[in-house]
Formats: sequence, C-alpha cells, structure tokens
Amino acid sequence: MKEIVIIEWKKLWHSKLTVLAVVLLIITCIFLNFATFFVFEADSSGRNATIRKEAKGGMLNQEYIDYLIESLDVYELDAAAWYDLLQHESYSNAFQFIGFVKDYSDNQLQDILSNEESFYQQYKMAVSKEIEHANLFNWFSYTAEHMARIDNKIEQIQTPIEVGYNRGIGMFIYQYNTLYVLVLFVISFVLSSIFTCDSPQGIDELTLALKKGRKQNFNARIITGNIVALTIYAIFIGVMLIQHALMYSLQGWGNSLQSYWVTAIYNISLGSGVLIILAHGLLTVLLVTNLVMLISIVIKRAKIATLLSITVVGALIQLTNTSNPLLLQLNPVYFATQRFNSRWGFEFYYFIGNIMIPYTVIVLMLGCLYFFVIRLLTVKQYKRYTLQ
Amino acid sequence: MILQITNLYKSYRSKEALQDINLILTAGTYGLLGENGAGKSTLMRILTTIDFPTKGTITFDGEDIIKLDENYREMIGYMPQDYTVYPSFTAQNFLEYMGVLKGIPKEELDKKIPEVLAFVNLSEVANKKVKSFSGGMKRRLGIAQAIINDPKILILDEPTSGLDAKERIRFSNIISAMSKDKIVILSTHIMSDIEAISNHLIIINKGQLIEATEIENLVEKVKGKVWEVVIDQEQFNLLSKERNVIRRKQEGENIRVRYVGEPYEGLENQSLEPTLEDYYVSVCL
Repeated sequence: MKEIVIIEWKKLWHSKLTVLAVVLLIITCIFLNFATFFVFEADSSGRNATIRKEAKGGMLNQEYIDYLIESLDVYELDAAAWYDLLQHESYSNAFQFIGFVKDYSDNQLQDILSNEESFYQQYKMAVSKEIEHANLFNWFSYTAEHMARIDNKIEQIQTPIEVGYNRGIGMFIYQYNTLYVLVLFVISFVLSSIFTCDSPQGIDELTLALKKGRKQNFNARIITGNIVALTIYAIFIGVMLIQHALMYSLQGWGNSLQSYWVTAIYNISLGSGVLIILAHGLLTVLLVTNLVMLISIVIKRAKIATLLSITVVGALIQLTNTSNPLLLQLNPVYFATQRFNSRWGFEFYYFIGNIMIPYTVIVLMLGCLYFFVIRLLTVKQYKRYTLQ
Repeated sequence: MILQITNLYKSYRSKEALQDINLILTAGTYGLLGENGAGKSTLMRILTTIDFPTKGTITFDGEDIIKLDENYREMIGYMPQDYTVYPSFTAQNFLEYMGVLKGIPKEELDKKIPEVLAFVNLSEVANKKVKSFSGGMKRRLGIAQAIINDPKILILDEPTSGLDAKERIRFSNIISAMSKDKIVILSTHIMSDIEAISNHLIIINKGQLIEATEIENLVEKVKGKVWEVVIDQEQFNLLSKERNVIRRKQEGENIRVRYVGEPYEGLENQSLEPTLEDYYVSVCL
C-alpha cells in the first residue's frame, strides 16, 4: 500500500495542473494579504503602512486598569476618541474587552473600572447576556436550566485575563476566514480526476486487471488524495503564517482566548484557539476532499467531475449564507468558518438532558457521520467500478 | 488449470454484447476471432474482472473468479488494446508501477524488470519516457507488464495491431515461448497470426459463440474444397456469385482467384492446401 501511495503522490505532483493550482493559490494569498495590509494599515497618504507593536501586555488587572485610566484619561473619552483607541494597536485588546463590558452594563465607566473584582463580575454577566441573546437566533432554545449550566461555566473563566498585542494573529484569523475557501476550490480542481477513466492520472483497464488494482489501488488513491489535500492546506497555513509574521509578527499566542473572543468560556490561550480553528478547517478540508473523490469515482469523466466538484463546493459555500441556523450548522464548510461568520462567537452549546455539548463536539460527530456515509458510498462504487 | 465460462451474458442498456457463451479453456493458446463489435473485447474485459457479467459465471478451477478477486487477478496478465501511461513515466517507472500493483515484492521486481525488458528487447530504452515510444515499442512494453508476474492466464487484446512485419514475428515467438502451461487468449484480426501462434480458435459473431475448437479441425473442414483458377472478368463475375471468394489477384487481363466450395465446372481448378482464412471467410462471414 505504501509503495502505491508514494507512486500516486508522485503522479499527482508531477501534474502541471496541480503545481499551477497550488502556485496560483500561494500567489493569490500573498497578494490579497498584502492588499489587506495596506487597506488596514496605510497612513492617510496611502503610501506608508506601519504597525505599532509597543503594546502593553500582561494581566488585565487593577494595576493595568489604573494605568489605562491615568495614562489615557479614559473617563473623558468621547465616542470618537474611544473608537480611535480601539484602532490603536497598543490598547485595542484591553479596550475591546472593556467596551464589551460597558455595552452590557448600565453603570458608568468609572463604576465599571473602579474595582477589578466587580469589573470581572460585570464581564461575566455580559457574557451570559450575550450568549442568551445569541441563542434567540438559534434553532435550539435554552431553558433556564441550560442557562444556569452555562452561567456555571462562565463563573469558571479565569480572571484576570491576559491581554497584549495580537494584531498579527487577528489579521491571520481574518484573512484565513476570507481565503480559506480557495483551498477547497484548489482541492476540487486537483483531486477531481483521480478516479476518472479519461485522465492520465486516473483509472484504466490495465490497472483494474491487476491484483491490487481495485481495492488497494483505490484505497491508496484515497489516502494519497487526503495527504495531498493536507499538504495543500499546510502550504496555505504556512504561507499565511509566515507572511503575517513578517508583516505584523505573531505575538499574542499566550494571551487569553477572551482577549480576542470576549464571550469564550474556555480557559485556553489565543494560540490554542487558533489551533482549534485550524483543526476545524482541516476537518472541512478532509470532508470536501473525500466528497470530491466520491464524485470522481461516480462521474468517471475528468472534465465533468471537475466541473461538478467545483459546483458542489461552490454550492456548499453559498449555503453558508442561509438564515436557517440548523441548515447552517450542518454544512461542513461552516465547520471551518463558524467562528467568523456567526453571532455565536468562539463557541455555542447544545444540551442533551443536562449535559452541555459544545458545537466543536457536534462538528466532530457530524464529521464522523459524513466520513462514514462518504466511505460507504465510495467502497460501494469502487467494488463495482467499471469503465463504461 | 480450467477456466470455465458458463451461460455468460453481458448487456449494455439495450445492446446484447454477449449471449450465452459457454467455454472450457485449459492450458494452450486460444485465438479469439470476430468482426469489430463482435464482443471479443467485452469477453476479455469480463475474463480480467475489469467488467462484470450481466448473467452467468466464470470459474477458475471451480471457483468463481469474482469471489476469488485478488487471488484470481494475481494469476492473470493482461494487455488491453490500448492503455494509458502516465506522461512522465519511463519504461522502468511504468513496470515498477505495474509490479507494485501486481503485488510483486520490491526485491523480486528489481530482478524481474531487466529480465522482461530484455525479453521484449526494450532494455536500451528502459529510462526513456514511454510517450516517446513507437506503437510497436508500446505494444512490447504492454507485453512486458503482462508477463512480469509470470501469469497462468495471459489475455492479449489485439496484440499485433500496429506492429510491423518484423515485430509481429518477434511477438509470435514471444507468445510461443510463453504458452507452455498457460492459458493464453489473444484476439486479432490477422488470421496468419492466429494460425502461427494458436492451437485453438474461438469465433464470436454478434455476441454469440460460433465456433470453439482446435484450428486443425477447422482447417480439416474445408480440406478438398479450396481451389485456385485463372479466369477473365466475365467468368469471375459468375464465380463470385456462386462461390466464396477468398482472394483475387489481377494478372493482366485475367484474374487469379482462390475460392472455397465445389469445383466450378468448365474451369481448370487447381486444388490447394486449405488455411484457417479459407475456413473463416467461407463459414463465418
């Protein structure tokens, strides 16, 4: 099996179309990342783009709050000045966080910031209200018991949270969300002819008549397809990380998750949150990869299979624009982009009885189910695969 | 070693490609003959498990070949009418790929590849890309991959098409050298190839089995019925309406004609030794 996988891997990467598609992906990502950099960071002349990285990092505790109050005179800020501060790299973390608490509080800013303990108490109430509000738009409505369970989890958020410069990570996440779908299109293009009978890298009479030409050859191609998809995804992530590290630096991996997603209730770092996002993206990549290969086995004609694969991926992406939350949450593309396109923040929760199940777990379960169905259909197809 | 085909049918939508084929094949070389679209390639594809019968069974030593699956395919070598080679593959790469898919261990494959390349006289071009090969070289490479696993059943679809005279002789010799203790099935339109290589003939027409016997028996059937005459155009017109003309050759004003049937009265008929072509043209067409 290993030998077949190696040969199939070489065949796929020897294809000029594969190389071209991946190179185009890289060039597009680099270009769009630079374009976004200049749009967000250019000065008024539009010629110079600079990043200020002199963020004050550390725990958002009373000492930090006092520092903000003293150095920036926050009580005197009007709306425009507050907005300016949010744009300011050094304090945007902290101010975004304070702004979130302020939005949900009836108290004056002086009262909110008067005491660290009460500040975080108000913060936790704000998180609870935000989650309850977001649930109004979900198909699954929380009961009072569910909210009590969530509140219990919110109480366990470790405070004070750690803030600091994270512009690079923030822009990486933003661009990842924007450009992620390109990876799915490249995969559709590269892998849609892997089982077709009219392509040099596909299946022909000769291979079907060989001892390992059916079961092992097909399984090896499926493994190879997944490895190739994984590689393309890794290249995409690598390019994005390197470019953002060079443009912004990737400081802030150790910050609290709440410094970016204010309603998150996990006690993990922002870096761990990014890894969860990337893992979700990987799951979607693998699901789409196996779906594309199934289309390839069923259709057997390279051009039609490519066209259909791209259409299916396009349709899945388009379906993420639905206002139906159930349909949205079942969509595999939404697994990867949920954290950017929804009102639910980093995570949202379901309940079986009193057991709280995060959407991440639902995603894993749905992913397994989709894999199982695709696998069943694939095996059924390749056992009786003919060239007619 | 018995390959048995029982009540085999294959249909594609409304077209019956094969109908009620029954055959028992033992070690030997079988020529498969039939017009274009007669069902030869379909039968070969089913024998290699590339395609599946609509009805009927094929067994090897009593076991269904579909159930035998890999154990059956391990025993076969197949060369299709045409095959695709990945553009960047050299002959060596291609044979490595085929060898891996045939489940041949690497050490054995390293020994086998130079052997089969030498056998088909392609050693010197082992590292050249297959896409630069002539039709004949590609055919020989096809044979090399078919025999690399030393198959018990060798199935060759139109193996001599596109080969020049020298290559056809070479090919005949290759097959003859291999046919001992194997079931070799080859389809071709070239009668002389079948006569030179095969000892059995299977004739299929419009999906139906017409004949399956030893070539000697078939030739025997037209013994004493093959004649040659030299006649003018007017006589030829009459003769061709009443007899099966095998060949005609213009010789000035006259025509030298080879035909099968009772001797035509009033002509100087010269008796000839019959060939397989005489039988096929007179009986099957």
